[in-house]
Amino acid sequence: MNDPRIELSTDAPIITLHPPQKNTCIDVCAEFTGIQDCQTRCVRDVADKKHACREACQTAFGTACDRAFPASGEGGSTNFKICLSYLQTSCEDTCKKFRG
Amino acid sequence: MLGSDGWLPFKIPAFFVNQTVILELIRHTLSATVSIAAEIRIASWPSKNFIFPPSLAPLGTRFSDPRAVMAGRGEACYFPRDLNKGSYGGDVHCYQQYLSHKGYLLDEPTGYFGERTATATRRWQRDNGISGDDAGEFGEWSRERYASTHGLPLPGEGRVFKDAKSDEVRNRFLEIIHHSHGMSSSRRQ
Repeated sequence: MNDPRIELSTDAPIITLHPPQKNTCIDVCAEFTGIQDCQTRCVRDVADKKHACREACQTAFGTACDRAFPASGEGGSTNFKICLSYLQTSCEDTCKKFRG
Repeated sequence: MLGSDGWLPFKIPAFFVNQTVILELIRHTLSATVSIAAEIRIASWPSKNFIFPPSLAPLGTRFSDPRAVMAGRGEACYFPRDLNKGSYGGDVHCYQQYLSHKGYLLDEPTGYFGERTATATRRWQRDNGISGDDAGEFGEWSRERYASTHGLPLPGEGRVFKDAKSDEVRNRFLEIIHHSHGMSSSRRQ
């Protein structure tokens, strides 16, 4: 009689299942004259929250500036530049609670 | 004050829009802080503690806050993408601040990556021995060098990432907020 059992190879990969890691996500929205952009960034380590906030803010702020002052508009590039000149201070302020 | 539709109660012809008007427009924009399962931060303009740079300051503004000087050194820029000629945005502006602070770029940051930024990038790459990227392109090798120098997450490390599911949740939440406040975020100037 054939043995129905199958012997598993000992060099088969072993997969260990870990419980899924909890991600922390941060949304940052920037809005100028009713034109808005929001960005989400997630991290696995809560110590990285400040980076998630800053990256999201930098992108949201830049995109909102672009939408509010498009290059095709009158004085678009000048106003875009002025708008962006406030990015760093505003994002620092927005993300200061995650400083560490 | 904003009108009921979230806009200023007056219209300004485009050719009259100068720096002052833009500041006024932005000063009156919506700034609300909301909180839900995910943390939502609103980048407002300008905050009550905001320090105007001298060139844009209303009369009588004082400049004693050191942040006015500290801001603009480009020391905490995030580069989730490569930058090259034609790129524009907040990351480009921050990068230009960095190049400017380090003496590689003499022009004022514009947020647009043009020929001068490419030339400054080539010089920075040469001085830092970066040859992996095309000369004048702020690619992965350059981004990695910048991040490691400034103690920021390295590109490709995956410490900070986008999450499609939270994008969905956020968008739905913002829709509800907008409906409840009778606002529209899709209007353009």
